[in-house]
Amino acid sequence: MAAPESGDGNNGAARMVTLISSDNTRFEVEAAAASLSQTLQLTILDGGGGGGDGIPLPNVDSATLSKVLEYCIKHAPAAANGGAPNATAVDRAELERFDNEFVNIDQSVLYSLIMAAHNLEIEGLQSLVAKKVADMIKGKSPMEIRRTLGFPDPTPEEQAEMNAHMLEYGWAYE
Amino acid sequence: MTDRISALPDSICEHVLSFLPAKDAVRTCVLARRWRNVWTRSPSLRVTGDVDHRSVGRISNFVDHLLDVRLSGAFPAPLDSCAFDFMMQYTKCHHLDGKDGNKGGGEILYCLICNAHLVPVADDAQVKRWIKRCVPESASSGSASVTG
Repeated sequence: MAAPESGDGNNGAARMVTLISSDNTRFEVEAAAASLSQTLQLTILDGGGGGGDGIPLPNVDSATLSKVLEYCIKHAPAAANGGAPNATAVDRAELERFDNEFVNIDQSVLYSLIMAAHNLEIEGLQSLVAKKVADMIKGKSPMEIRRTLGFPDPTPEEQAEMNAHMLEYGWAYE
Repeated sequence: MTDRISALPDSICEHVLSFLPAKDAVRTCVLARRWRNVWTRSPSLRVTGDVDHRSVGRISNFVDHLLDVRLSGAFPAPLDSCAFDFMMQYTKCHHLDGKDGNKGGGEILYCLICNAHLVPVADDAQVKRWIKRCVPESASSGSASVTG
């Protein structure tokens, strides 16, 4: 893979690190991309993950890690430029297009991605997936939200409780 | 089946709600018992709406109720950001810096944005009163600034 011109003073090939998913798949990725994870950043700065060693990620399976790294690789160049203040409108539009497409996924994949972004502390990804869930909630009735987010059907007791609570919060439904 | 959005930990749900307009966030309280108070701990509050002479009383009533619930209790959750953003004819902005009393003295930037047209209820005095309730120390120390 061609190293992006990150301009961070590295000469020659970009440093690579290896990450190992919970199901023992090894992923080799540029250190700059993996460092979008606050959790991994210190280990990588300390020289971890290189050579034959890999960094084990016992909470992230290979399908999810592959998706997470797709995000990191795409966003690493902009992050290296300090949020890319001199990025062109075209670059920004391209990242936005990527992000929108990226979260257009099955709900169980989205769930795994949310948990991985949280565990790995990848701020941009955490916000992206949280916004996606917020968009799934926005403007919907409680029953529509329950269906969208995969709540089990309410028992009659729960339904009565919901109705009572809606009355109590009448001011939020005017 | 556990890999459902409805099973996400509370801290993530709070983050999700910070991306919603206040009305949508508050309404999640009826979803299930576990969601009842999640919205009151969301780190961000965003009140938006189209304000005209008919809706102004309703919006005002909503914000007052919201703040009553959100700020009640011995340890209301700290707000990192709070915005009152109303669609009106012209804009004003309020910016506040303040210390948070509930988080052991950690410094938090309160950014309050108000696009408020001068109308009978949601005029600057009203919005300032809401802001003062959200960030009492800052407002009383006079660090609020109003810019056009």
